Amino acid sequence: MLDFRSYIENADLYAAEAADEAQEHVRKPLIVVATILSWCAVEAFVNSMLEDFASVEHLFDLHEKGLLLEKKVAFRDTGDEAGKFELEGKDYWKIEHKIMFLVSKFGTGMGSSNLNKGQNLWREFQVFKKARDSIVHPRPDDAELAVEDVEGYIGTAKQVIQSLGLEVWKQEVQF
Amino acid sequence: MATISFDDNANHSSEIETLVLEFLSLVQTLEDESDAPIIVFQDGKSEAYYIKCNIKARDAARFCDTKARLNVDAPEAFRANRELLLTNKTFLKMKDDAADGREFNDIIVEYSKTYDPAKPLKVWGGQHRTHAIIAASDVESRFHGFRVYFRLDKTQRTEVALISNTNIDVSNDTFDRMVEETIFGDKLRRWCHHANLIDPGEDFPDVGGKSEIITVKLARTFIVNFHLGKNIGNELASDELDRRTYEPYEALSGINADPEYESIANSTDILGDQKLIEAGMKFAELHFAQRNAVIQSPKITNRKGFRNKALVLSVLFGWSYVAGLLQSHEDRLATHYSIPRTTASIPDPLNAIEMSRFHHNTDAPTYRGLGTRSALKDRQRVAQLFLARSKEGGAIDKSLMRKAVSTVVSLKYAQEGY
Repeated sequence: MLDFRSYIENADLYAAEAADEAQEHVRKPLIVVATILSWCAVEAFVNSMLEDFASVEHLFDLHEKGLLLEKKVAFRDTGDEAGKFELEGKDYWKIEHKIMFLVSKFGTGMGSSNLNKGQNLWREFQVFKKARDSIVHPRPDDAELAVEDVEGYIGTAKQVIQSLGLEVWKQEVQF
Repeated sequence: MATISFDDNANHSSEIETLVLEFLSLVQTLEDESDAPIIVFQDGKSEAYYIKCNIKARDAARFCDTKARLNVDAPEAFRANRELLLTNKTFLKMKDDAADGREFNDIIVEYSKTYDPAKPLKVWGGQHRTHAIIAASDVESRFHGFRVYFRLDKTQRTEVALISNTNIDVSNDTFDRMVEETIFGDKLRRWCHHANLIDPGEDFPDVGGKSEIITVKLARTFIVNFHLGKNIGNELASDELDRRTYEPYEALSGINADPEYESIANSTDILGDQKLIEAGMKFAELHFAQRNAVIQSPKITNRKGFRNKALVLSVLFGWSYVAGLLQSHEDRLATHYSIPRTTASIPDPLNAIEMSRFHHNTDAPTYRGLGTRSALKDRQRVAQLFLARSKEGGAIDKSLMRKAVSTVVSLKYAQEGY
């Protein structure tokens, strides 16, 4: 599996190739690849951070553990464990929620973070997410992506990663 | 016979005067030949006595001993100076120059008949120049400038040796060896012999980076970390072991002995501590298993860095710390002492290739991998790696590395975040 830096590096490469490509039928797939790779960079970074904290799960309460391990919190109503909460199965957590958790738990809190929903970065991240969704779940009326769009997405990916690094690690992330 | 007088800053000593006379009766000097006075000086700091004189190459060849020893009473004859670099270009040029009549100066010797009395001029500074003079003494026998010390005690002798070597390229490892011998005698070397870390009759290397043997610094650090780990392990319940990070120590090199090591060496009997010796032996087993695996396996390049992975600072520091930590947790100690399993994809116990590839997101892109540096971060990570392995044994694979490093990173940030 590639790490976030490799995803970003490759996204940059494909975006540059797309910018130099005159033929539309070649350029479009390059834009798609660059967009997906930059999204993967954010996912890889966030998931890796969560995986780190999962290694010290004893420091977290059950609901937090559920997010870290991507499991459901279930209430037992039978057997010896009846009346207790436990983790079970697989649960899906949105990347936005994972980011919120990390900022809230280890950072300054969502209120003062530039990952706050009211901030430009978050809005740009949502646009980026929509573009990614349109690639993964394509519909006929989806707008086509331009080279400028993907360059913006890569920039957003880097900013989200950088902000998260500063919030949680209190250090700049080097690309 | 030349007249002897004491410098204004030197305290008169009949014993020294007798020794100087004895020296002058044995060795032909220019001062004696030209009836010039011999002045006895006394160093203000060390209070060591010495004279300055010129000695014929022929006599230098006859009386100089380049295998000088710091500890003159030790039964084993380990030389203190660095190895002579007889094929070094600078030395070869020095030798040619000597044959062409070059006159050398400020060669530092100690006049002593305590051992090898046939060669009483023990060379402490300028052993290469002395060797060049000796090599050319058959064809050219000029006078060369010497400083001759008398009646040195061990501390003075070490100081002379250190001062004589400060302006040339002498490694910290050689310094450490000299200081070790002066302050602590041969205990550390004997401990290494007991633990099979050094072959019988063998000494610590001049330059650790060029050898494949444990250095004084590494051996000292092993002992310090064993003790530090042991003290903390005694205070922790078994379920607390994996819930914190550890800070293996790095002993200092140089003219002064490391204070942590000095404290342990002065307050404990390292030669009588069977658990410490056992830890050393187990570490030696790991080192040799790693070496053999790298030498024998076609799946890994036979590179020194891979062969000696166990002797990398952070690896040795982390391993010895965990050995101490688990002294009071015997079930896990046995696993720690077992050699990590090798597999079809992991040809060596320490998985040197994968360790050097390992990279965490918090690391800069220039990070050189796990167990390659001695920074605290790396020492902590390697300690956690060995601690994590002591739970279930097995191979040191990528997943174990990831788990260990994640633990160190997340404990740090989780604790700060709370």
